Amino acid sequence: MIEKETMKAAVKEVWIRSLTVLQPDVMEALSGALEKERSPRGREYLRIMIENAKRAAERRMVICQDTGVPTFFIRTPLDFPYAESVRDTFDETLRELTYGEFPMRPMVVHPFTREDRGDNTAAQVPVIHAELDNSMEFMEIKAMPKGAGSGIWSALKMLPSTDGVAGVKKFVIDSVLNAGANPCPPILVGVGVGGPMEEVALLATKASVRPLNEIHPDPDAAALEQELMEAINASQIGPMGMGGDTTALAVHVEYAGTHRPWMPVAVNINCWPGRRAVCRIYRDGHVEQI
Amino acid sequence: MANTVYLQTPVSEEEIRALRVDDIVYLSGEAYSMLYADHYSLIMERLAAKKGIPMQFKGSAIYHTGTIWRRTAEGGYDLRALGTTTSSKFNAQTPAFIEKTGVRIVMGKGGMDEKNLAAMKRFGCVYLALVGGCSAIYTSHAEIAEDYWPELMPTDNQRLKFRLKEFGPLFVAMDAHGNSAYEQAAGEAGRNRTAIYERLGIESESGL
Repeated sequence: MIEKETMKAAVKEVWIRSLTVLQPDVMEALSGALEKERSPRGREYLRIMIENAKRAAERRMVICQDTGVPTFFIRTPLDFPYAESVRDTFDETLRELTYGEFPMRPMVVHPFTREDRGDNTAAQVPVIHAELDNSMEFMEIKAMPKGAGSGIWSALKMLPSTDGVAGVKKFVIDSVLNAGANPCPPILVGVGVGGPMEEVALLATKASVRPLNEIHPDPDAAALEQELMEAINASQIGPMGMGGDTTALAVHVEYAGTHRPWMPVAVNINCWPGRRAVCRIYRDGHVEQI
Repeated sequence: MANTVYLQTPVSEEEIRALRVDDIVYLSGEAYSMLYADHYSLIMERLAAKKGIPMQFKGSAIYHTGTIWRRTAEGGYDLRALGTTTSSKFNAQTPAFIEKTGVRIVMGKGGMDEKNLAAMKRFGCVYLALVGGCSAIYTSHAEIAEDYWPELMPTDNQRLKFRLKEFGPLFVAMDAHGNSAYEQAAGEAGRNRTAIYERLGIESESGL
């Protein structure tokens, strides 16, 4: 059996890494954008973003002070040897981090009373999504801090099937133009298409943290991503919304089967750091931070 | 050509009116945090009731920011991160605030609307943009000088005064002459919308 302390240490580290270390694929995308960006303002802001990410990693400082709603995606085999309560494990981890190492301030509140427990836990928070995969030899935990400034521009609509793919495209473009300078562009646009409502939201969220060097295996979806990305960058909103060629670093589309009368679409806009980190916990208790 | 300017609070109207969009500012002196709508409203209510406030806004700066900090055992401040938050949340409250307090600098990200631009022109105030998601490079140029009314938010007081030392780079994004970098970019994006629809085969009336 895996010890609770082993699990907590792994979650702590993956959470701190998600806040302090920019993933290499995001860094590469920023550097690539810097080479192509024609706006002097845009180039200056991209340079500062890159410098900030380097400094954060060197000094183990947070990239952004908005450490967001703690959100985790777990993938695990059904027979993974962990007998403790997953909820308690994550709650305790966030509580200990907030009071102890203190990489984040208490941000999470009750939705009605707006009161907080002071430790970044609340009903159903940290958010934990779990997926079963019996082919896996380890449990994988992906940390994804969801900040307020980009998260508030998320949108979902159960379109009728008659709106078709054109309706999806319009919804994505309108969501991005509506957000404009606010969500810290260049953004990572996660698009979910199809499914019932909860699935389309989840797909958009997963899409917003897909590695930037992973191309969609479905060529039609990959083509749609490319088409939307070029269209969004034609807007000239630019880095931090002050004009330029780089409005989106990526557009990722994920889809699920849907009902015949529906064309559900969801957009989850992620800010430029696209914060995420992954760890793997093996059956023997060995932990890999990747 | 854009200038790089080092300013010290309190700043004069003349210093503010000399700034133009695209100038870069490094700010020293004092700034006050604004994170929630009630930060504005409490101050405005107290001024209206002639109750007095402990801050000296005249010639000073307000900063749309969230701050990760706590008290040390010795009674000092342990500042971990301060970075900028979205300014458009405060569009409605800021023009009257500029008028009543005489604040000369508003710092934030994402820009503010035309009513703020007009107030800045009329009263001699500028909007200085920080790069969002970059608290790591800005934090080392600031320290916390004071926190106000901690009893109102005991777990996470965000009413703070900062002492700044060449805090920047800050980009003049809305100047005191009615120019806004955001208005220029948003105007262009708006004009590009039709072309984007066309290239994606979207009819403007379809869907939503």
